Amino acid sequence: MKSLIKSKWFIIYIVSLFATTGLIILGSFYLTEEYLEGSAVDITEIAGENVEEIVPLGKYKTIKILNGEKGLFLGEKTGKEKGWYLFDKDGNELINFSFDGNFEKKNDRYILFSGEDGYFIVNYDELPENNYQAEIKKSSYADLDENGENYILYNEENESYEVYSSDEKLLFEISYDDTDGGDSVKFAKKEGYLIKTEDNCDHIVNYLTGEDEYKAKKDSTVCDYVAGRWIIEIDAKSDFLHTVQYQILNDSYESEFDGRQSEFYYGNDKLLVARETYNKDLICDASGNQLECKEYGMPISATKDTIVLYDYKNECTNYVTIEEDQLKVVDKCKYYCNMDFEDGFAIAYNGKNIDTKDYKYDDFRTNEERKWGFIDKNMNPATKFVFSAVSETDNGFAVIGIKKKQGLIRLNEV
Amino acid sequence: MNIFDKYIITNLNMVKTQIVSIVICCIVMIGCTYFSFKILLPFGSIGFICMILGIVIFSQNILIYKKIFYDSIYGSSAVIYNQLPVSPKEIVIGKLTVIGIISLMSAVFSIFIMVFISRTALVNMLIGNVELEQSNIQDFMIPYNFVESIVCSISQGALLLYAIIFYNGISTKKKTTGRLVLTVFMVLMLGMILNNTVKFFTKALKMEYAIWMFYLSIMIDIMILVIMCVLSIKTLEKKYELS
Repeated sequence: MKSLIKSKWFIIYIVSLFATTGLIILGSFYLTEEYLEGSAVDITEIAGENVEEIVPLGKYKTIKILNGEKGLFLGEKTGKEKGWYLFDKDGNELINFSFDGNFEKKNDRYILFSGEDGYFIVNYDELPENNYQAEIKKSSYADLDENGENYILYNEENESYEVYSSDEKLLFEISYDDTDGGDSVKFAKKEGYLIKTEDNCDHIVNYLTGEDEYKAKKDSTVCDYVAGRWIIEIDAKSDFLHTVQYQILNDSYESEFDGRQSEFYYGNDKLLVARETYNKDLICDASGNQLECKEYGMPISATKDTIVLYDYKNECTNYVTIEEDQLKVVDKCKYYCNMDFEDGFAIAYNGKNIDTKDYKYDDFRTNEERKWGFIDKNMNPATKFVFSAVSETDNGFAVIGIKKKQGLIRLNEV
Repeated sequence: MNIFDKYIITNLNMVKTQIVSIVICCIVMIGCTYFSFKILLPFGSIGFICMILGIVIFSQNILIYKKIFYDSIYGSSAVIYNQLPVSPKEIVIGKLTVIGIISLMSAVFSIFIMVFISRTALVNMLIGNVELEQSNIQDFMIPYNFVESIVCSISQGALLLYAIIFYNGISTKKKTTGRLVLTVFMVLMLGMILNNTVKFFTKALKMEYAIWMFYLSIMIDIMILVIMCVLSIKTLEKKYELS
């Protein structure tokens, strides 16, 4: 034992073990304090005069915009006041949902919460009184989808999915079977159609006529209806490295194109973007023909009418559309921006080293650099680029984050 | 220089080739991941390269354990190492110190890499994602994991050392199939206790992770470490008495 105590190596090891642990604890304190405590700032002061602070940073852990038009929002509190609170555009709390679970999703009609004990749905038109004790439905599964006019609900009594019209009329019903991983139903972008997964097989169903029009093969997935065609993704399982290719079907479900070594990524009514091996994105027309887009940059997203590309070389965003079988730039923005201006504002990023992969479909875009902001239809900044996280706007309302704290703002016209 | 220090250095020298090759593999792996978009790889996949390097690292790790725990006691080089004037107690503690040094180095290295590659990822690990529920334990997850990983790797080392000593016995003639089955069973059982006891009970009792569970986990690790050390020392003492 004496030799152990006298051993330099043993002593050095023990000391360095304690020293490293101490350093890591100090480093953790430093990092967490910087991110959690260092954001007590006035939003209007740092973001500009067009910004109106509705909820200050940190009042709620998470904020969700339910309906910007009606001015309804949800905020999640932790600790003693734990729960979800519905509040209005003046920040007044209207309802406290006593429910141990998470906000799941919303549409124009319903709010869905889900937790380990089950789920509950609140109808906008029948909002409960203050301090609402939720009636939890003891089901392990609940789903909700809508396409603007119609919506899908899961009826747990009949164990079926039901498609309703906006005037509450039952249009279509599909029984649910949880064997083989469970069935699922979602609306397709084509009006009157839905994509049903049954026994691991995708079906295209016309819910207005009730006709099952197309059944995909076992290894195929029906992605969506894009550019006037159905996009089917096929798993190439025979390959050593797992690859996917896509197929384009016309409205009669006849194959028009078989993409090789590339997968469908996203698209709009006119164009689609496919991804090749080595993450090379291609813009294709409705028939699957590749269009030359190198000079405009790399595709990052699709809006209703355009494909958005970011030009890393010139650091600008290009919005392109198809005209006479060729791509044409219809708009240009000097910031990184991957959306259109449906609500009058778009999210923009004013920094370098942006990794487009991380920001494509996120509801709430985050980055440790505080470079996010908003631009208006004329591509002028509506706020300063000071946020580390932002959500899309709804009637001018947007959730913003600085470091790890969230707040709610309203953007006014410049 | 103290004889115990010399013994540690001898053990470290024994596995220096393996340590160097692991470090090189790690650097290549990080390079592949970090510059993934700039290198055109002939195999077509970064994952494939990383898988190959992972296999190399795994095999080198096995070699480290084999050289430290087996070769110098029962293997071809045992004749030389057994002539060193160290007691069984010093042998066991010395070997576990070497394992401790290696695991400390790898833990520090992995934290350094995380800071180097993505500070955001590190912060997210520390405080949890924006969407995730934050509890107090998550704030200091990395320091806890750091201490736990080192203690656990030393305990696992002790378990492996005792398993080798138990199987080979006092003299190498005693090796039987029954003993082999018993050794494998013992390693699997104690390994499971080392890694999963706290997780298993918290899941079974539907409890949320709390700070005392970390201490309990460390206590179990240390308990197994002490038991394995004592058993190893006693068996080695008998072996050297006989020889």
